[in-house]
Amino acid sequence: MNGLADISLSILQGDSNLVLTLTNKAIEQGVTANDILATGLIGGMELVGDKWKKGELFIPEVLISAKAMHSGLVAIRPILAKGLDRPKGRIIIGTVKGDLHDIGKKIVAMMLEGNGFEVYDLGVNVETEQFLEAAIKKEADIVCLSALLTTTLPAMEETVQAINSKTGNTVKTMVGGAPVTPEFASKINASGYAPDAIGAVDLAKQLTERVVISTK
Amino acid sequence: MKADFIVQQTASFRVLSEDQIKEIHNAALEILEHVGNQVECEEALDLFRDAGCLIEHDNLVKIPSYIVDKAIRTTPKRIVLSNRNGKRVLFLEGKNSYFAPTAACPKMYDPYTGEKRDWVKQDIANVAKLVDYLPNIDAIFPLGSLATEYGTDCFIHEFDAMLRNTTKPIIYLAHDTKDLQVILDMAAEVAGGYEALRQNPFLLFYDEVLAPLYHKTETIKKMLLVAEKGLPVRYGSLTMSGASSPCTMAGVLAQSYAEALFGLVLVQLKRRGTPYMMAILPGIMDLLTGGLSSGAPEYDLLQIAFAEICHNIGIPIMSTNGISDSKIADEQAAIEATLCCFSAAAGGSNLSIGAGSLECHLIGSLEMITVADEVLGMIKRIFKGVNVDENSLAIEVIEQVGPRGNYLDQTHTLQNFKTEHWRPTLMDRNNYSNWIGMGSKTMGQRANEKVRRILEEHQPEQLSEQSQKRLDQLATGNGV
Repeated sequence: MNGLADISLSILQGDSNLVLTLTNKAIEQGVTANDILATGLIGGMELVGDKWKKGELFIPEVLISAKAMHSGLVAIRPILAKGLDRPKGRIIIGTVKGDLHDIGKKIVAMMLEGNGFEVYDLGVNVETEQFLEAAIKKEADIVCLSALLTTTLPAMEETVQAINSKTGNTVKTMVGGAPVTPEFASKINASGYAPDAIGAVDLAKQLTERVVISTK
Repeated sequence: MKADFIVQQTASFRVLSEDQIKEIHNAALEILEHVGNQVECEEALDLFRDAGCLIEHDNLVKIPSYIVDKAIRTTPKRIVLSNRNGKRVLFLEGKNSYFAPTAACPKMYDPYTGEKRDWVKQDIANVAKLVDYLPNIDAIFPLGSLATEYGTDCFIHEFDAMLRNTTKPIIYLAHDTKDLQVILDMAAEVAGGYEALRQNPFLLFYDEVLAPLYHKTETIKKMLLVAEKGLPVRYGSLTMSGASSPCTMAGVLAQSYAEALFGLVLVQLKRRGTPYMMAILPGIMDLLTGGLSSGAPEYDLLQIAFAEICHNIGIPIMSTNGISDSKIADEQAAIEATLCCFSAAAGGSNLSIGAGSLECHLIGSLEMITVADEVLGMIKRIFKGVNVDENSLAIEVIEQVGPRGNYLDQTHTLQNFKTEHWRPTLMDRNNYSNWIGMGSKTMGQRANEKVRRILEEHQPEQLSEQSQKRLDQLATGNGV
């Protein structure tokens, strides 16, 4: 267990090399991939998230930690693929049609991945059809939509409605971005709204609570 | 008589030396020539290619420095904007400074209920009415967004509301070339034709770079259309230091300056001599919240520096005034808006937008426009400077009054007080007792009362019925 705490700590320190070394060491010592992921890697990002919430860490530091976590994730991915049926949750994310802004969305995507979600980033100016296709193909749990321009909010509404109707409300939707409000989110029947990346992680956890991870 | 007597007429504020400005200018030339800017608009690529620029993979345009120099030379060093009646009122040249509100806020605070809500067309009309009245606000920018009500036609209706409710020059946006054409037709209708409009433009087109170094196709198409008509264009980045531009101040300046110069070159290639305004909204990303901050002191520093850099090449510059990160018109809003007004003036930027902006352009406040108007009055007084001559040195009067005398009933005081002392319309200088007697109102309450009074009493000059009918047709797409 000590080893896992060390992994978490090295993520907090943003040391990619150390994370990789310690992850490989843990694998050699026979620690299960699930434990490494849940306790070591995600545990590390949870520490990071807490400190960020308290104002003790800043975004550049958080992103370096996310990168460090990612190097550990890459090491255990091959083993994980054999064991797990489904990850914590599968998320499609993108900026809606007509909008090219993506800095905030990228931060959200990194935090979601850092917290154990499998994230597929479709980029910017994404059509409703593209979101829908990806959600169905990847068997996504959540589709996350981002927008900065007020004039692209109708596109967000259209995408949410399409996802709701075409997936029989099984795929959840999360919306965010500067002009987006909780009122708008409920008006368009999105599953939820988050004001920032940390909020997005918390909400994603809530929305995927009922997903059961089974092993074959 | 006097000889060789040098006067400093206004207050002076310098951030950069000549040499530092030259370094930043050269760094921007390097960015334009070596790093490149990306643009996908076919017409723009053709213009650049034909001029001798290098187009690399991914539509990366690299502009040799001599082409930038040529473009700067043909860009007008002055833009004169008229009012709606064709009278020339804003002389965007040298270090003249004029001021305007912001635009595109999705929400507003209702001045009667205090409710945070969506905009309707009458609200934009009210902003125009307010601006029409306020002496220190020189141009109108719509403050709010009608996107909820009109979708992508919102800019037509915002323009329409502004056109009908103030004679002051209009800064305007457009969604694409279709609604842009409608807006220009409306302006030409009021001006009496495109030729008249070109000679005395009462409008300035506004668009933004997508930092870093990317120029959206629709934006470029719009700019080229405006340039084709010979009408003025304003283009620059809303940048976020640490996210879409470097974390270091000089890097933000070099990149943003290069981005604005890119637009300048393109517009000059399209139509030589098109009036062009360099611009910047130099935000930082707050690296804790991940949000854009305009209230940051770096914002003020950067816009003064940017103005100095643009003055170096003599091109008119637009910066910002009166913006705040605060969610309400409170102390934070007052502080940030004031510093922003000050930095707009201190850099001598020719025009600035922003008054009324809360939560960094997400909530519009009419009260904050009146606060900005008041603050600008104070700032103008400071920058008006000290006049030193026989009358103002007042030695004769000082002698007359002598020890233990007073100046109150002196002719000198009577003759000079109206020009020497600024008069507040919002700042309260009553003693405590009188302040209580007048209702012990806060600045916020007084600003709100002033807004309501102006909306209820002020009557802006109306357009002719014929013009209004024609605008009705154009705005609703029924006029061909």
